[in-house]
Amino acid sequence: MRVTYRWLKEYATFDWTPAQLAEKLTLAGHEVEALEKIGPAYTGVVTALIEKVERHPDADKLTVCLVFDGAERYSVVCGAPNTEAGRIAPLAKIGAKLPEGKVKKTKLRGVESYGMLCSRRELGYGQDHSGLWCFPPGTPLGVSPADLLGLDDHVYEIAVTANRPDCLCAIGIAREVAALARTPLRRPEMKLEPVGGEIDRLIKVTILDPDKCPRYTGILVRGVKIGPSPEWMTQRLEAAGVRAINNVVDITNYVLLEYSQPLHAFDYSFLAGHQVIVRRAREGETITTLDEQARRLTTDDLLICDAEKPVALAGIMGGLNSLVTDQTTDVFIESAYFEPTGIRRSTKRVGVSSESSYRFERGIDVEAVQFGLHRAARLMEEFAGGKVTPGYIDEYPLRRQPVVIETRPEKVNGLIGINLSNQEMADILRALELGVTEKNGRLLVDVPAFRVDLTREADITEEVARLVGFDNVPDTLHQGVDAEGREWPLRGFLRELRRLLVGMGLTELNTISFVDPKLLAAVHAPAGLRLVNPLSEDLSVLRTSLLPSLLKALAHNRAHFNQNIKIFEARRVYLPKGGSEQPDEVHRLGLLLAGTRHDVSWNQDQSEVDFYDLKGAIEGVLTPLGITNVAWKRPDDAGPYLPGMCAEIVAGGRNLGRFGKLSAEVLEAFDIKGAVFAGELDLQALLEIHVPIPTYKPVSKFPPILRDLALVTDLDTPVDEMQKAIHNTNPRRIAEVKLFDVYTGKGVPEGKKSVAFSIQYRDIAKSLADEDADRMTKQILTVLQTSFGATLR
Amino acid sequence: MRERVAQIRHEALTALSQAVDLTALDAVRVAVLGKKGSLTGLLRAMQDVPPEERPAIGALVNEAKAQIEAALDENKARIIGEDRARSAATERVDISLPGRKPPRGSLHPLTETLDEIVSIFERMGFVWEDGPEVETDWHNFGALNFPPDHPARDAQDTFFLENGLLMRTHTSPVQVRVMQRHQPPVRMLAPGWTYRNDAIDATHYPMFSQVEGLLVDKHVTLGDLKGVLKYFVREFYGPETKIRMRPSFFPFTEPSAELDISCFVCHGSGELDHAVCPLCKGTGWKELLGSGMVDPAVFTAVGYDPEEVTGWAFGIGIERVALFRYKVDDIRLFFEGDLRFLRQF
Ligand SMILES: [Zn+2]
Repeated sequence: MRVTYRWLKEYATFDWTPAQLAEKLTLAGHEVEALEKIGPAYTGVVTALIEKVERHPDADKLTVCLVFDGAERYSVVCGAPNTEAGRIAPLAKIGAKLPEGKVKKTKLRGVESYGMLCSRRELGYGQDHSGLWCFPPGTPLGVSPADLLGLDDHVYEIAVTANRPDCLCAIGIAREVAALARTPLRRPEMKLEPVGGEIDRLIKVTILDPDKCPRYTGILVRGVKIGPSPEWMTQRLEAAGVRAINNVVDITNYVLLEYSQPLHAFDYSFLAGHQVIVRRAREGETITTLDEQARRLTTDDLLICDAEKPVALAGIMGGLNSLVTDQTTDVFIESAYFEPTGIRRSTKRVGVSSESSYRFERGIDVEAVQFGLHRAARLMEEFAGGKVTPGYIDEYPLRRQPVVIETRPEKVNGLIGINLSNQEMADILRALELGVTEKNGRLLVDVPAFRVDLTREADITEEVARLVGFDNVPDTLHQGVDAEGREWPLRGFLRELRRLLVGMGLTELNTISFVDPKLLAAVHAPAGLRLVNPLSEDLSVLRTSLLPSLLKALAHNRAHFNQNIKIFEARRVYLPKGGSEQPDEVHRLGLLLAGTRHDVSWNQDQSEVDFYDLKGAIEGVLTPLGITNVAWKRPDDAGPYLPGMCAEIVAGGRNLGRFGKLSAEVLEAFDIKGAVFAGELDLQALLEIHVPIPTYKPVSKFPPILRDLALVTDLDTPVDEMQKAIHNTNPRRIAEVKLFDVYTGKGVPEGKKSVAFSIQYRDIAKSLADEDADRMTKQILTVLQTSFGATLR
Repeated sequence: MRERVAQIRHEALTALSQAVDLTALDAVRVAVLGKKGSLTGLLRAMQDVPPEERPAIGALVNEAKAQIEAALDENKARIIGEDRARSAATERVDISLPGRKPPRGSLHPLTETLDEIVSIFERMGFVWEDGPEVETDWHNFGALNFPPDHPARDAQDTFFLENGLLMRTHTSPVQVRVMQRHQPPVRMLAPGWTYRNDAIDATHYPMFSQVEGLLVDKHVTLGDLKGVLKYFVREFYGPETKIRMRPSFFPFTEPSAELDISCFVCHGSGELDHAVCPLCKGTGWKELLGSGMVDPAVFTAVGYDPEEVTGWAFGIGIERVALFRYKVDDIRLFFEGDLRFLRQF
């Protein structure tokens, strides 16, 4: 909503500057998003009295004037024909900025000039350049012409909230200003016609659907002459962002901006049978609206029709067939109230909206439609040469029921945290033009029709708080019984997990939850839920896997030459359950490694990451979370991974996820080359089996004995199980089993590998002897031989 | 005996002066002054000396011992000095070379920002609650007092799913679910991702995150809301930060309010280097969050009695906060996954 400072001053009395007013409005809930100064493009121009005029010694057409601006005298050389002592004209002083440039001290034919006396055109007011712009005698000196004539102004761009359609017009905003200033609101004065009379013989209005159109008023203005609007109206329309067209159209727009009353002007001669019928459209009926679009309607849309045909899509847009044209002489003005939700459904369905529908769907003042009607008619009399046919039509089949809100002052005070007396509260509400009577300590608030947002005590509370000023409410801290603590279990867990991963060199991503369904399919993920209205096909489905997002981020980084990609994302995926059920929103950890192990550095090797970097990162998460008894399995279905380079993680009876090297055809879908290792872990499962608080195991004070064992076994023998088997031969005395070498090749038979363990024997209660270690080693060798066919190398 | 003392002293002093390292020095000390050392041995052999000579010989031995000990200290200082000099000449690292860096990733800037905001409210006893992102119309709109066919829904630009559900447009459905599950009092936070059908540009992204806060109890006031938000603002932005609360409109609160904070670029003056402050556009204020007193219709929808309890709620957009916090000028950077951006945090 755009409105100007001077426009508001017409209806409300206040003495705030434009900037102060902006702040007042903002703090009352009408946020001023922009405050622009409008006016002629000059500075440094003031009114000045010509005291003396002398001929220029060297030029016939020039005069040398002594001018006085109320403070100082200046000698100015002037070429205008109407320089005359005693006249008051605009003086542009040295340094003044005019539309055509800056005023400097100059010499005109040898005589110095300290400024410039101006014509209207030189100040940007129209085209008059016949001579100086002269002001009447007695005009104050030293004043900017703009201030003098009220030609400069300030435009407020106000964000009107959806609940306040009454503020979508100048009078509505002025009403708020008047309430804030505690001064009365001045509405435009005008004479109302009586209902009925001569007009009844000229046009007949029938409302067939009062539910959708509870009130319809109309008036006839004959003999108008289409032409330009007066300058002041054009300027206000332009300030409000509305293009001026012609006097009749401009007047309807002006009244819309003044009263928030949408009007429609029909060319009376086009209304067949001189009838107006308000009815629902027939299924499939069409109307061509004034934007030349044919609109196909349903029975839920409302039409304004004449005796033969639809002439307007009610409350939304006029028809092309009844438009006011340059030849129009008789104008029938419609001012009606249409039911909001119906208009809203129609605009949505038909796909068209307008300044009118915007207001109807929010709710206009049903009790004031006749004022907007008369305002327009009187303006047409004044500025379009028309004559109002006596009387007006007012069909009001469904009258508004009064809204009276019983308000308990103590509840209002209690909710806000203030302590107003009933009288103070009533005064505030009356300032807003609400009716208030006091009864048994309660306030009965009679809500006028323009305040469609006020229906309950809570709404009255807001009005009181608004006018008291939120800033004047004392700050307090609620001292209540504390609510039960039941924090979301993943909260702390996710926090720890992220810190662990960052400590291992991985960087966290947050990417959008929508993906391209083709990319989900490419990573063998199940199909996701589809959006009805996606931004684009590649953001059309809810992801069921984090892999596409990680791979897209990898591709993006590769495109920007970023190396050493180690990324993760801890977010939810959405697994459809079928039908209209909400999907399972499952938190996952997605990890991806690609490129070199380290950043390029003089003292770090530049080898590429491999399977064990990713497995190490996963172990680096699991171990601190106390998930130590983990089985790594080759899955039956490797999905997007290479079958030989993929593992499934099983712990605590739960499948925690899968990871591995991505296969070439997966990478191709993302246009990525090179080796990429990625995986996804189920965070809910991780949360459920993790051990948040470890239990202490005693440490021994006695020295250890170390033994290294190199063994030859089949290539397929799982080393982690060998390790466990070694430990299990004597869990009490085997403190550590470390794998320190894996070798295949020369010296080891084909199909075999050599694995070497370093075993630390240690007892909690005594020093072990070499014989103890020998005995335990022998036992280990027996177990490894029988269980894994491993022999000492 | 005298000769023996003199010889030991001479040999010890010579050996000490020739020692090249501390080990050699220590070896001399042990050989002469140790338990089995030669001078110690002489003291033990004192019983063989005639009693009248014992004081003189004893003095002689002690004198030798003192001399050798002094020489030990001297030579220790000499050797340490020589070592330092040698090291200075030969053992030089290039201190300009970078160190061997331990791996280090980065937390996402939105995670960091969210965490800091949440932890301030957690200190005041607010508890993190979670809820689904795919929501029903009722939880996202109906229970929050958005009537069907109401223009207030327009501002929400909802993503709808083919199965009739929608992507939540705010985290407020979580408060509905929590109130349905639990009786008052309630003191909760609902951080999370939300979605609106906005075309992507430097200031809009279809996914963004919010922290919602809710307090419900008997006799909760608008003043309490101001008090808590003021505490939060001062903790997060510094104690000199001013707040301003102004009326606004949200369907699920009544009264509704927006909270502005004094501009942290121009410190509320509206001016920066004699020009209009670019951040607050000269107003001196910056919009931070939306809030208000819970609308009685919301209480009724979740089965609370609005005559019995009152409450307030607020919602903070994390991206906005993070944009200003890190001086980021394009919201898309948060979501592209570009490591040149992310590794700066
Ligand atoms: Zn600023």
